[in-house]
Amino acid sequence: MAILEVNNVKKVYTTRFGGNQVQALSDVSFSVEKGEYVAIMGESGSGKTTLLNILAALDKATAGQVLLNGKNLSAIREKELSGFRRENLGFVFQDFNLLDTFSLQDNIFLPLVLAGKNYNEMRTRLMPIAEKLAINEILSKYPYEVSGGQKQRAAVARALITNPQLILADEPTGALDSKAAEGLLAMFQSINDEGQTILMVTHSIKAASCAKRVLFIKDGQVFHQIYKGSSSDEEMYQKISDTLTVITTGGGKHE
Amino acid sequence: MSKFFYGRLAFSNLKKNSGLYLPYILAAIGTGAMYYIMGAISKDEGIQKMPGSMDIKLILGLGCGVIAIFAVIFLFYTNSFLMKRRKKEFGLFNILGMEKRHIGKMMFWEMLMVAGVSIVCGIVAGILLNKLVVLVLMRLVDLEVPFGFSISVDAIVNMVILFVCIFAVTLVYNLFQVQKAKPIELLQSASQGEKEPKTRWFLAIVGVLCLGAGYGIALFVEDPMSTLLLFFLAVILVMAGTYCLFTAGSIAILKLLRKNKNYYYKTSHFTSVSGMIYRMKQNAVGLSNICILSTMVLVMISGTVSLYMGVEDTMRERYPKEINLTGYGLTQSGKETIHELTKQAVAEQGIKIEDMIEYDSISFSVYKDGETLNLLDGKGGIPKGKMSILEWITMDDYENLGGTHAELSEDEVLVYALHGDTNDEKYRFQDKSFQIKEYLSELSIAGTTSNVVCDAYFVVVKDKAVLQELYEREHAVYQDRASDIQSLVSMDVTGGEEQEIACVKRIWELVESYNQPLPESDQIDLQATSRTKQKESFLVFCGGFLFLGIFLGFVFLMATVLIIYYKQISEGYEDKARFEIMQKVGMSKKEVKASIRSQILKVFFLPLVMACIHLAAAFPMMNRLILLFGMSNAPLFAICTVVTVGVFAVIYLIVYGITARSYYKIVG
Repeated sequence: MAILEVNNVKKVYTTRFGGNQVQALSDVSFSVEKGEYVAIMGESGSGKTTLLNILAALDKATAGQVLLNGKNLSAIREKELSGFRRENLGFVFQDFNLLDTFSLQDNIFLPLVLAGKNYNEMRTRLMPIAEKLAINEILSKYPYEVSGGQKQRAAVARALITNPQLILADEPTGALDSKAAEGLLAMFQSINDEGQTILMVTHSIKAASCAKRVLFIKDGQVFHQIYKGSSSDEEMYQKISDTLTVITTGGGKHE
Repeated sequence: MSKFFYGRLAFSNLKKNSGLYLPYILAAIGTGAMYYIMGAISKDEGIQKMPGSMDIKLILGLGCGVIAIFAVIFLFYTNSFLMKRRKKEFGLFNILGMEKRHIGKMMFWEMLMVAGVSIVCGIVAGILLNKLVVLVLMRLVDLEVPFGFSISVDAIVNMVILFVCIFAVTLVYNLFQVQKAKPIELLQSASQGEKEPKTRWFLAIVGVLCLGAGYGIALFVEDPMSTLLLFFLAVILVMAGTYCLFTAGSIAILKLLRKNKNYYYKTSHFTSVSGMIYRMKQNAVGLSNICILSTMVLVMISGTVSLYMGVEDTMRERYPKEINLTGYGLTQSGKETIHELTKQAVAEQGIKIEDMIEYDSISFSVYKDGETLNLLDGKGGIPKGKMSILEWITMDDYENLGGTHAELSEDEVLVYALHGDTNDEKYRFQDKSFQIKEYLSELSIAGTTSNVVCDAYFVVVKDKAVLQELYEREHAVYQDRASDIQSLVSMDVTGGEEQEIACVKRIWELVESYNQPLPESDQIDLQATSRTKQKESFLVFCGGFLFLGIFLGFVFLMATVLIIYYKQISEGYEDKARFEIMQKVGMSKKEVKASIRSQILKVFFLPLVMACIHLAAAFPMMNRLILLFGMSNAPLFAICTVVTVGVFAVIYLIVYGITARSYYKIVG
């Protein structure tokens, strides 16, 4: 069953005075099955972030539609949008986006508090997640007191705690050192193994090679995709870098 | 490099940062103009010629000093806001290859422009507004407005010197700041100070204690004499307490709230409590400044307004009749002469005496220790007891003044306590003892005593012989400093104020010419005052104070406005990022806005609420202080205070509304 369907999405930015039009996405279509782990790769300016913003319902597509669990995102009313995002989507950002005014625990609780859950329920939900992400020792610490890897794990916990349909990760390893990045990717894999659907946008071949499928975006379109199948991370790494070489040297468009 | 490069760069910097610099320059112009006006008025020739000009001069001189001190603190404080916002810019210049000395040059030019514009505009605004302010002042003290348009060179020179110094010191301070900072620190300084504040219980408790002590003094110290001294202690305690409570107390309370899981993890409390903890850390000092300034404005204006409004009442109480004559140590024939001369003077004005009261009294100060009245005999230092003034009158006069007759024996008295004990049984005075037969509940001449500094009693004795004996006993101890038996003659007259004044003047002249040919021992020692004349000079005094109150209130209000403005702006930049994150994590725009609003409302109205509490606690004490100026009309004072608070709250609200808009614009 497809959890996410993206059909012919187009996004055109118009400059303020209506003069220039910039086409960020020309025609993007793909779907994500439940339990999949998909990475989207592309160069700067290829439209990755635009796509992610549309998927996150932070931005609206100019044409085409995005269905999450069969529900059209553009049909959701403004008032319900943030509630919908809270319940169905989990976000992991490159720069963590943790609030300095909250302890890690409170940062993780934030979406639940907004949803009006009581403290005991939040606590019971948090415990297994914190255990798995190895942050139960530092829950009472503040974001500025812990390392980047720990911050990102807390952010992952915040994304997981609502049991979302889909986790959207925007360059999650971008601000981490290689060791922390490896740890995080391993964590993503194990979360995915437990059935969590993940969609990750990334630059890093290393990160993408952990995913089960990699989509390549170029000039606002899905240019190519690779399935990992039974190949190892290393083989996947090789495949991805080969593909990127083809793309950057302009090897023509695959039909 | 072109000669004017730094000048041009500085100019374009100021233009780019006009949102930050414009209020700063306006504030400098405002304080500059105020300082000039104060200086110019206190040197104004028209005012020098006014009756009671010494009082006004003194009051205005005080105002000058206050504004000068204030200008220094205030401009320095706002400058720190500017610097905090601009450090990043300086860091960027530094990293792009400008040396510190080049930045210094640029800062010098910036300051030069700011100072130039501020001082020149300040002088121009001061000169223009000066006339208006003089008009207001003259109106307040009810005097003719002198014509002409004057420019005081002295005041200009003083103002230029003061402000050049302020700007120079500010520049040096800023240069020092940039000099000691590393470029990377400059770049990051806008995002410093993110750590969660610690709970400082000690400070919070000190705050509560200070505030409690300050309030305690204000509420429970009754003695008006010590009030004046304790007032400053109370003010300092309350100020210290305010700072401690805002910095430590607020955070302690918020953290307690956070500990309460059921309260804290509610959608409406979650972000606001944590946000407030963060906000209070950054704003505590600014908020306590606002609180203290607001309190000052309120105290000053409500006090001076009611003093001014109460002039009429006060004068009526102090001088129950229009014309008041006081003779000292008069013989019976002396009294008759006074009557005759008065009649003559009144007749010459073509008016009539309407209502006349007359009584003899002797008043002297004693140290009242329980029931014993001690005179200060110069031997063995100050006697035990509380300083009190006793005014003695005879039963006959008491009856003439409208009192009901009571049979008194020689050692019996009736007592009216203006303020002081009302439960003594007798007074022991030297070897004499007076049995107190009754405490009186009212006395028509009670308001005539000018003394409110210490306890005061009116004592009714049997007859003139007792007064005489008291006089002799007092005279034996105080000798030259002893007070004579006074004869008071007060009357209302028909006719207007001018005739009243002329009449009193004429009485002086008549007494003078009567005394001329006589030897000193036979002369009449008489003081004649007209209520209208007294009112005029009292009005100058109160009007001067009111003027100062409004003027300084205006200055402080301006400061409050500016501090609020800068707070909103600098908070806006810091909150922007936080609210973006909250929206990404699933907070709707509406929730974010509601959360912002509730936090800002709480933060900015906290000082106002606190100021009102301060004012309420200060009320009894202020009431007693105002008593020192001779006004004893608590209800009037209360009304004036409430109206002042209301007007202030409305202004505060408007300022808040305007600045909140610029905040929302920044946050998005």
